[in-house]
Amino acid sequence: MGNHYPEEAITPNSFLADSDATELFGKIDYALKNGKHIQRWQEQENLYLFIEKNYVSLRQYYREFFGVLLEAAGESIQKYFFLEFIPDSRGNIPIDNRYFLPNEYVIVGFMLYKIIYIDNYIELNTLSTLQKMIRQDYEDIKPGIYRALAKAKKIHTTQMDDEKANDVIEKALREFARIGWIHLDGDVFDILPSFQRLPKIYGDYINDPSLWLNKANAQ
Amino acid sequence: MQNSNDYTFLFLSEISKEKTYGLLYPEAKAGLAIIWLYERIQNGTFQQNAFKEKDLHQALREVNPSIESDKSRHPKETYNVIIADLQEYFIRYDEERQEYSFKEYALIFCRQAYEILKASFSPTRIEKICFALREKLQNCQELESLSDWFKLDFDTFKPQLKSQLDFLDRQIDQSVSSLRQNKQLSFQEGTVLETLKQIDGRFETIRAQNKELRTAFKEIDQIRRLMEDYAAKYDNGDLDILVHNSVIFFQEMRRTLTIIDKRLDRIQPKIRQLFSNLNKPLFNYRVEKFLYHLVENSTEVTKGAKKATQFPGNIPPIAIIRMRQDFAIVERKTDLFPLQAKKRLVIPESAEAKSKAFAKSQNKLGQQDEISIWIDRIQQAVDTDKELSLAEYFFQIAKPTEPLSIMLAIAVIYRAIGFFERQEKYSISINPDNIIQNPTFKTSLWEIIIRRKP
Repeated sequence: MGNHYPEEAITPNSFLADSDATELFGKIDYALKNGKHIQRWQEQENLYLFIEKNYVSLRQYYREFFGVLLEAAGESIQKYFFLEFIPDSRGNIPIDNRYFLPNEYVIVGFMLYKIIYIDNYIELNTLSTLQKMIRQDYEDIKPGIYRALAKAKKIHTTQMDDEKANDVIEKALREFARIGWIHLDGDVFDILPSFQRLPKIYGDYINDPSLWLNKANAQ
Repeated sequence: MQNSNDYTFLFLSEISKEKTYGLLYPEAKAGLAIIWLYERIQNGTFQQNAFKEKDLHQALREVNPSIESDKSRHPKETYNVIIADLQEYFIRYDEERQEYSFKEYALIFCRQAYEILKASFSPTRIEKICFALREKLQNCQELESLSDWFKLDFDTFKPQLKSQLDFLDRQIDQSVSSLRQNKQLSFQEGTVLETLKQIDGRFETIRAQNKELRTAFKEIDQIRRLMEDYAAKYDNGDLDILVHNSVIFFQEMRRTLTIIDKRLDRIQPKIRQLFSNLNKPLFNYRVEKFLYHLVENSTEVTKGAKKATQFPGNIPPIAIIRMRQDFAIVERKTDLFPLQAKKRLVIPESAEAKSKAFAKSQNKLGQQDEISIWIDRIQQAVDTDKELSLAEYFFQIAKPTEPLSIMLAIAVIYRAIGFFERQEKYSISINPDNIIQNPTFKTSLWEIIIRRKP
């Protein structure tokens, strides 16, 4: 990665010498700073290749001038790039430059992950089917889902609760599309490699249930 | 009165009558027996393709072990009813020889199912058929042979092509559903990996077959072109309809092929991801546990006017970098901000300032008058003397101690030059070599001579 230039000569602005910089860097910069994840996917292909080629220089650039990390994750064709806060320095990033994904969306994200990667419904690719599945196919956690997504506390749910849940699921997918986790075109969506970042973000909690089990019990 | 030709065949109402549907599509116990017999007819077990009632009984027994084991019933009675029903569409009974044989419908019934289910997919066969079809079409010399080609050759080919495509689609369905069923095996890594490999391989095959079929379509394109040529050549209404329908059929087939392609495109990458996920069944199990924990224990909090969900314990939300980089374009919109009248500047008047301003303008006017007087004087002098030196007038007008007079002198010279130059009867010559000086002035002038033309 980034071995197109001798290592010692790479500086935070080496990437500007790349002949494609004029055409691509602006787009890349906007995308990354808007929280977008970039992977080898259709229109992102060029952007991805540019970052891949100039990774070392770009990483220096973002770290030096913006105090953020240009990170890479995923293997081979599943690889993706994104900007991340430097650990424990979140406080240094102005509040204007941070955005918190609503927790409802995180739950929708994990539901989507479960349906496709754990329950193997690999053909799932429409928003309407996802809405239906989340609402109907998971009886065991249905009350919890409605409480989290539709703020419904009752035992029986209504059409209005259904609509609220649908709305949250749709908004979540739109947000995922915005940050490049999925590609959404009308009702149809495709999951992109960077969607794997979701379980990765909570990797600590997922791999070490004692982190939350004890807390939950203590409450 | 209704003509017999006007009678329309209503398929649905016809097949709904009494037992018709059940007789055409018998229950599995009867249908399977027919298949059992079909296979034996195909491999030549029965002489002259005829079989006895005992063969029918054997067929029913072999495919329905449950009827046989049910001791409380008399299977022969059941068989008898089934055989009687089958005689409607499937089998024919020759009373004389006490033999049974297949009716045409039974053969179609079995052949169709066989074709559809047969796993041996052969796009090359389709290609060969297409090739033969094209050759034949090319050799059609007249309208009649052409319509024969449509009705006989092409119509038999259509279902074959369609069934090949249906076959591919069904293969995908099966692979996908077997993948889903394997969810239960999630914790036995070995098995799942094997299945997944198998399914991935199956998708590869389907993709290859799809590609081959696409090649066969090249031949179809040629057929289509030929058809269109014929349609143009004969300009016949019936032929046009046939060609039009065929074109629509081809388009439909092509669309199906694309849909299959798209399905594969969508599914295959996910299978690859499942491979990497397989290595972590424990992780997946924990993801589920974590998700359930979030769903069950999240609470609702009110943030401002909005209700939000808060995760239990100290599980944080996801923070995403979003640097504000909106460009603020500052622009004055004239439609939103119409030009406003400027405030009038009011200067307080005073008598002193007024008289000062008056004196100033009077002075200017006076000067103008003086210039004119001098010009007149100069003109008279030229008219009389035929020639004069303008520079000398300068020193007459200007007085070394009065700056205003110098201004006047300069103005007179400039005005005079312009005045005489414009008139044809005068000429002006300026001679920079001859410099006119006056001891009382620091200023010196070039010699300027005005002449009156004769």
